[in-house]
Amino acid sequence: MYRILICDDDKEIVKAIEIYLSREGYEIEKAYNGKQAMQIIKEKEIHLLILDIMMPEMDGMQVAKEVRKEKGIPIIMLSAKSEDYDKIEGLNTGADDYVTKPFNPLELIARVNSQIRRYTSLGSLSKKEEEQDYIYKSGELRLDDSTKQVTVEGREVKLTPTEYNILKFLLKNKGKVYSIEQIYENVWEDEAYGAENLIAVHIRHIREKIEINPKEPKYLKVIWGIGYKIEKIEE
Amino acid sequence: MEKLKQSASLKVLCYVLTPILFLILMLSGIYLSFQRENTYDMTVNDYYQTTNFANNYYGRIRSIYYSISRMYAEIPFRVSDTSYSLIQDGEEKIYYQSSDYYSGFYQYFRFIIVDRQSQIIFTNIKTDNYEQEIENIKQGKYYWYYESGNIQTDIEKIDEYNIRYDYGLDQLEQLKQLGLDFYIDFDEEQVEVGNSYYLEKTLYETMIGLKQVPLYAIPITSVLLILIVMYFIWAIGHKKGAEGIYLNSLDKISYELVCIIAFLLLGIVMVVANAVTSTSLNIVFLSLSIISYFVGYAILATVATTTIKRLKAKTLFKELWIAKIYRWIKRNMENLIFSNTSIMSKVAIVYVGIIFISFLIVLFFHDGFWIILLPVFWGFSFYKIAQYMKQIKTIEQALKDIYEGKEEVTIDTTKLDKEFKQIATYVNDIAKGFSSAVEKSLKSERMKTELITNVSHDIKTPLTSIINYVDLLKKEEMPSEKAKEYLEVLDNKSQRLKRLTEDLVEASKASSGNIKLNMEILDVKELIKQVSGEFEDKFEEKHLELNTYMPKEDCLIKADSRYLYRVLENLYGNIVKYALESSRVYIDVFLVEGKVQIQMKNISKEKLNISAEELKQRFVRGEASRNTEGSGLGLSIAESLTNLQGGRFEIYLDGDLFKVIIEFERQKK
Repeated sequence: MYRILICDDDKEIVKAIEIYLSREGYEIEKAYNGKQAMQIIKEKEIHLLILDIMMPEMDGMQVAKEVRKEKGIPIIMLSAKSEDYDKIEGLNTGADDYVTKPFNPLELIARVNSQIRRYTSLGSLSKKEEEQDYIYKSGELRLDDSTKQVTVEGREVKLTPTEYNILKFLLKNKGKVYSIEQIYENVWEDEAYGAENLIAVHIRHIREKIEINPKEPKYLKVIWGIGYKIEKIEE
Repeated sequence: MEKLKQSASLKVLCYVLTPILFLILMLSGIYLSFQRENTYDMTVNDYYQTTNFANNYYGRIRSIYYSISRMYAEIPFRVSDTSYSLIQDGEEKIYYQSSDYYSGFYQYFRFIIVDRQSQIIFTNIKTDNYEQEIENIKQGKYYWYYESGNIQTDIEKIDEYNIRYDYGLDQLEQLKQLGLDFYIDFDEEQVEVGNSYYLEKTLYETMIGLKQVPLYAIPITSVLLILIVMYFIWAIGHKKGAEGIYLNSLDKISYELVCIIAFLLLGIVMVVANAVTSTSLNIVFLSLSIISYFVGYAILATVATTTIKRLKAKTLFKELWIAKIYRWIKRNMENLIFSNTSIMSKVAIVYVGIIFISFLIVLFFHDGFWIILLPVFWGFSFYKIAQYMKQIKTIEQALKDIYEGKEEVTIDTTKLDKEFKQIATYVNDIAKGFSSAVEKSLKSERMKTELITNVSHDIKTPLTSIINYVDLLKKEEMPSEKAKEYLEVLDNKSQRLKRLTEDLVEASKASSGNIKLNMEILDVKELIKQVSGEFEDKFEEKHLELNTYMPKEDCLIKADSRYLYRVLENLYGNIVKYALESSRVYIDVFLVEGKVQIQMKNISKEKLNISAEELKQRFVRGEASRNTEGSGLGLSIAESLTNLQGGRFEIYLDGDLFKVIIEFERQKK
């Protein structure tokens, strides 16, 4: 049973998130300003913190800074500020994720699950497994070529053989950008010619399957007008 | 360094050192030239052994003998020289000459001249026994005598001197004929401090002692003097606590006046020095010449100092009376000729002036070398006119810059002539006003964006609750079908409100240029494939058939990858929203005149009774009803973003055909 602290000065939003997350089986603590949040964190064991930025008394940035001094618990920032620099500032202050208001409840739940999993099982992956040369991974994205199994943050993903091959190729060469043509040349060996135009579609499908928000992908990044790449994420 | 520059004590030291060093240098130079030309005999250490002493000695002999021989030349013999007085008359006549009669070198000699035939003695000694005295002279230290046709002396250089200069020999011949015996010696005991021989002797001995000194003194003093002069030029005028060049009251009075006064004072000093020089070598002479030397130096140093200071403060030429008078004349002339005259008459005056001066030159110099002045004058006139044209060009360029919207246009008015200065000032003022207006509008645009961003934040918070509770409500049991229907409306509208707030911020940022671009080389063909892949499902849903043409050549452009995607996302989204279902959509890439063009064509679902220009404006949508999901900002955002990245964005409407053209400069690999 993981305990999540929701901190926002808008009580209705806190209530809504509480409803969603308690359905997922989380225990919820509520705070309506930064000071209250700090108090609760001191008193109880919290596994994840959902934090609004603009709050009276002590804002989200300050809370995140204070928490980071002592604890490594995941922090998801929640804010109406959607500019790039707001996100960067939030992440730099110590947040692990940044969700803009108004948010999609399903996305928030997915992000909470992902952070909780990451936090609680961090370091439990055996070193031995990493050394295997049929395992390709970047961050929490993991492809096992011996079992043809792909998992993201512990959740298994079903891919078609073509999608699997594309993902394997990109994951093998993570960090590098490949154009559609290059992917085609590398992945297609004896398949029908003309499939080239479908690669963009395949890649969208892969993104939809492995990413929480395909429009803001974490693993499979689109560099428009240049190509695609798997982000190299070090643990 | 700054401290060194401002040090007053160092400057005083330099002021004092300069004349001393210069004196040493000068004396060393003279001394060296004496050594070179052998003016002074410096082969021996004893002054009394030198040719100079011998020279003096022999000069005395000659002058004594000269006065005697004059007396003998007169017949009958009589003592015409009043310097001799008869002190003993009788068988033997003794004529006495007081030693005080001559000053200078002559008073240290004792002489006796004996005319054995006529029994006459000439002497400057008073004694009872002249024979004894003659013996004394013969025993003396520096004797010379002529007796019975033979010269006896212990001053070796006398003969040498005579032979060298070849005079006196005939006088000796006369002496022989007259049958006079001549006894003379130099009384060393008479040489005392302060008299001429003493000075001469001391000087000689000093010079002998300093024989090697000029070899060191000349280079050392020269280097020191050069250093001091350089230091002065660098440091003069800098004073502790004073900014820039410090000018005292002397530096502020007219330079001409300073020069005239200095000139007069120097004249006085030189007259005095000259008067002193004509007297003989003694203490008074020495001290006076040294004093005049230092006074002269002080005057010159003062003038040099004030000149350097004025030059450094750039006041020398400005403050000159002559320059002031010249400027005054020039100003008055200009006022006289040019004030209140129209531009045409000014041109006419200049033109007539050129012709008139040419005419004068021809008139005066038509058959001489100076006719060359005519082409020189014409060349000068051409140069002046060319300069005016250049200044007009400068102003024209500035106006062009303003016209083209360049920032911070200013003309440097210091390089312009009076006539153009005024124009340039007007242009500068316009430019300043212009750029401040642009700045103001940019600022207000930015403030607008900020306001919209802030408002959107405030809208987003309650919107979050609406969306979340609508979503929660959807999961609840609804009492009727109608309630479900209503809830659907709420869901759609709240989603649209969300998109609207997002687009609003983006549109205002894009139109105010408040976006940081990250320009890079992109492949348009790749981009179109990628975006088409993104929208494949949505096109399929509406049964839209996508047709794409792409050239074989590279289609590289320079743009911001993310924002160009936003442009295409909006346009593809519009196609999905507004294209007629089950129609064909054409998205083609062309290379046109060094540019890469993306053309998107589709058939509109609704009738487009609106112009392309109107369509691009914010909040305008093609169809009359506002029921669809769009915010009406898509095209406006797309256009602004394209323009920001340096691209061209055009919309064409032809009946139901909706066509968008995006064009970027083609880039080479």
